[in-house]
Parts: sequence; C-alpha cells; structure tokens
Amino acid sequence: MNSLATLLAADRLDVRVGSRLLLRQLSMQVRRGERWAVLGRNGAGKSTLLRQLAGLGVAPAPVLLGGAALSTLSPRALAQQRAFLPSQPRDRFGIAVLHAVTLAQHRVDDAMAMDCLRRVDAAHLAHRHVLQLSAGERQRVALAQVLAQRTPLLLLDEPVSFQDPAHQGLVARLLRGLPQQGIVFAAHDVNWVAHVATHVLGLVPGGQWIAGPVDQTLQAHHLQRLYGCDWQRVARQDGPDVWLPV
Amino acid sequence: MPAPAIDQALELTGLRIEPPSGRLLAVTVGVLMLAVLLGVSVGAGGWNWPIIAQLRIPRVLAGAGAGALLALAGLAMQLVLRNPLADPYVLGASAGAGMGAIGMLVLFGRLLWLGSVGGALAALGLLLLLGRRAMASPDDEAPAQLILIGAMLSAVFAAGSTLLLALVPEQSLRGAVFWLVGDLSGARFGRWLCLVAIVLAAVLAGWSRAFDRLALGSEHAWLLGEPVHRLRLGLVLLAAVATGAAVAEAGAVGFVGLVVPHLLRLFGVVRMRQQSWAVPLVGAALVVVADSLARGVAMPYELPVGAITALIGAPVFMLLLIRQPR
Repeated sequence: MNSLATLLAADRLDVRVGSRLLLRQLSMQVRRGERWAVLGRNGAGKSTLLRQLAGLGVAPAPVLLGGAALSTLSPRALAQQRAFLPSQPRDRFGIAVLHAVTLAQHRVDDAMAMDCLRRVDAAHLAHRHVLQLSAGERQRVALAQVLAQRTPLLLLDEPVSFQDPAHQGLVARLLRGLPQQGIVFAAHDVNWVAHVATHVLGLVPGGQWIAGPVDQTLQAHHLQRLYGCDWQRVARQDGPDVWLPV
Repeated sequence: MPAPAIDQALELTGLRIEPPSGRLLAVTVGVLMLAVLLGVSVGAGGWNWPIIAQLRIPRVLAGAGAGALLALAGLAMQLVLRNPLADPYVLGASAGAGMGAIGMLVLFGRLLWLGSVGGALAALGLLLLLGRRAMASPDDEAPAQLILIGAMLSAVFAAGSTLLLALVPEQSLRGAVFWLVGDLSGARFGRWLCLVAIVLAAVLAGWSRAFDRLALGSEHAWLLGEPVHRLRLGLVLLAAVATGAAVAEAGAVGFVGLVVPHLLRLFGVVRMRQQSWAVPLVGAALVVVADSLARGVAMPYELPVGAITALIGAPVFMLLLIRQPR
C-alpha cells in the first residue's frame, strides 16, 4: 500500500449525534482514484459522518487527512486538502455565480472558474445571481465551487439530490473522470451508486457498518441489512444490472 | 427556492451585473459632491462666508462622517448576522451607544465616545447572545426573529437613556431628542468621524475577499479556509466603533445602515471590494442631504436629522420585510 496515495484514514471513529451513537469504531481508508458511496437509511448518519470527515464535527475525530491529524490542521491547511459539498447551500446575499466560484479558489482565475462551471453544465448561469437559481442549478454551482477548490479529497453530501436524470448522468461522468482525486459521497439511488462508486460504506442501523469494493458490498443481503427491505437484481442484456427494492 | 426581495427588484431594474468600478466611483463621488454643495448652501443667512465656514462646513463634515460610519456599521452587521435587514438603529446598537455615552457623561462628565463605543459593543454582544439560535436556524423566519430581539433591545436601552436623562437634570446633558432621534446641530468633531470612516473602510477593503467568503455563510467560509471567528469578531468591533463614534457625535440617526447597502445592491454592488468605499460615500451623501432637508424645510426652525432619515428608512424597511420570502 502506498501511504502517499492515502488521502483520508479514519481509525476507530465513533460518530454521534448528541448522546446517540450512529456509527461505532469506523476504520476506513480512501485513496486516490477511489469513489466511496456512503449508503444508509434517513438519519443513519451519512451527513454527520461527512461533516466529521470535513472537520465540521464538534469533537476532535481520529481522522488523518493527507497523513496529518484532522484536529491539528488549520482551516487554511484543511481547505487545501478537502472540499465539501453541503446538502443544501443557503444564500442570504446575492452574488454572481462566477464570483461565487472564484471565491472558492485559492487563487482567483476566472478562466478556470468558467471551466469548472462548464463541467457541471452551468456556464450559461455564470452572470446570474446565486439567489435566482433553482435548487438543481444551485447544487451544480456548488459542485463547481468544490471543483474550483482543487483539493485531492472531495466530500459530497448527496451531490445529485436535486438533479434531473440527464444531470445525474453528467455528474456521474464527471466524478468518474477524476482519477487523481478521492471522493466520498452520500447517496440514496443504488443504481446511480453502482454506476459511480468503486467502494461502498454502508451504515447499518445500530452503529455497525459494511465497507469494501462495490462488487463485494453491493449485494442483496447487505442492502437488506442497510435498508430493511428486500432487493432484487434484474439482469439486462444491453446494460448493467438494475437493483429494485421489493 | 423563492427569490428574495432584493432579487425581485433586480428583475425590475435589470441592473444585476457588477458595475464598472470607474463609473461607480464617478457616480458616488458626484452624488456626494452635490450633497455637500446642497449642505453648505441651505440654511438661514444664505450665501454668507462666515456662516458657511463656521457653521455649515463643520456640520456637513459631521453629517458626512456620521452617515459614512452608520452605513459601514449596517454593512458589517448585515454580514455578521447574515441578515440583509440589519441596521445599528433597528437592532439596538445605536440605543446601546446612546445609553453608554449618557452613562459616561453622568459618571465622569467626559470621554463620551468611549462609553458610546462600549455601549454599542454591549448591545451587539447581547444581540449575538440572544439571537444565536435564530441565526443558527436554517429557517426562513429567522431574520424576522432576530429583528424582533433587536427591537426589544433597542426599547430597553432607549428606556434606560430616558431614565438617566430624567434622573440627572444636568446642564451638560443634551436632550432626549438628540440621543433617541439624532441631531447634527451641535456637532464639532466631523473631521474625526470622517477619518475613522476612512480607516474602517480601508479595513473592509483590505480583507474584502475574506468578507465576501463570509457572506457565503460562516460554515462555507470556514470550509474555504477562513478564520471565521476572528473575521466575525473583527466585524463586530468595527460595527461597534462605527456606531459608537457616529452616535457620540450625531445621536441615534436611524436606517442609514439599512438603506444604503440595499440601494447599492440594487445596482449590482454586492462585492466588498466595491461596497467598502461605495457604501460610506453614499451613506455620507444621504445624511448630508437629509440634514439639509432638516434645516431647509421649516426655516427658521430646524428638524432633527434622524426624523428625516426615519421618514425615508422606515418605509423602505417595511417594504423589505413584507417582501421577504416565507
């Protein structure tokens, strides 16, 4: 194992909300080129885990980011290691979309910001105000901000929750085309995950978890444990298999 | 996502792109020059050099300084509270400054401005403490809730000032009208106000990128690497100094901090690198014009300048509040 390629390492991390333990003793490593999908029911702790990994947790977490302990890194050093996509950005002030993207850059570069917008199909929004966007457009602009931060690690809280099918496909292709980066994302659509992820972290109710490559973890009995309903895998001749909850 | 009031107005005006800085500078400086010209010409006695030099120029300077400071205070408070309706008068910082100044006068008889800055700081601290749940909430009602807390703080400090004024009938104290409404008739330190305004504007301009990131949200700014606590503390101190200095000299002139940043946002001035100088310039012009009206409309009587700014500002505030999205 090449330790330089390890972007994020959690070592026996407990995730709590208040006194409730959501996740017990999580140990995982994210390397360059890996795309980890975090699966689990509503309230299983997906967002809380992602926020902890981003450094937004209340207690210091036993997490290494680029080899250094998360709690010892300054905000500035953290911002060069990881970018975080919130589940729903909340704006109070109008600002032009292009300017919002340049604010995420370490060094202002309008051409690079435009390129980030183009990659999420939002170049046509560059001169609109963020307050005028639909939820889906705002989410893609937030994704452009994440790209503009140019970090090795991307933490994305439900990156396609507001996207139409065409843009879900666009974001899938975008994430698959980032071989130099490690990505951890929360998602609900198992088929989208099967298309995008290389690894799965499943949060089982009660604090247990399942982690591993997608072909080992995306299986009917695991999904049953995660969601509490039965799953059927439908094989197709002209494409990948489709998962259906029963 | 519903478009807020500012944005509906933007749809109407169509002026939503950041204006070229050169044109913005020319317009704002031009407006301020016209305001100053109006300020030195209006009043009893007409064009009479001794009157202009000894009475009107100091008064125009004081109005410009107080206006610039109150507009900057409003801008800083809007950023800290993440609330486009924030204003030092509406949220009680001006009333706190007034009570602090009166307290210093009663206790020591001097160093008014110190009491005034301290009072503004105490009011802002209380507001942040009492309003922290409203600010943390993602709820769209939160801005209005914060306004209510501020209005009550303002009422408490105003009552405190009134009590102090009633209990200590000293010759040295200026009347309730000055402290509660604002008046420029006795202003003497306009030059110092202008100097403080320039320094504070330079501070905002110097860290403009960090403050723009803060406008995206505290959490977002932190994720981008900004020392958010220090930035917000800096803005609170800046708002307190600006409010305190303005109130010590001109009393609680209201709504300047609300109206000016909003007016400029309508013209696409949304980034700190332009706001930092355009907001104080227009704030200065607004108060100088308001004071000229206060002196001119009912000659030979003078109205308090705060009555004029409230007549302009309060309807604007109500319009913005009503059109806030639910």
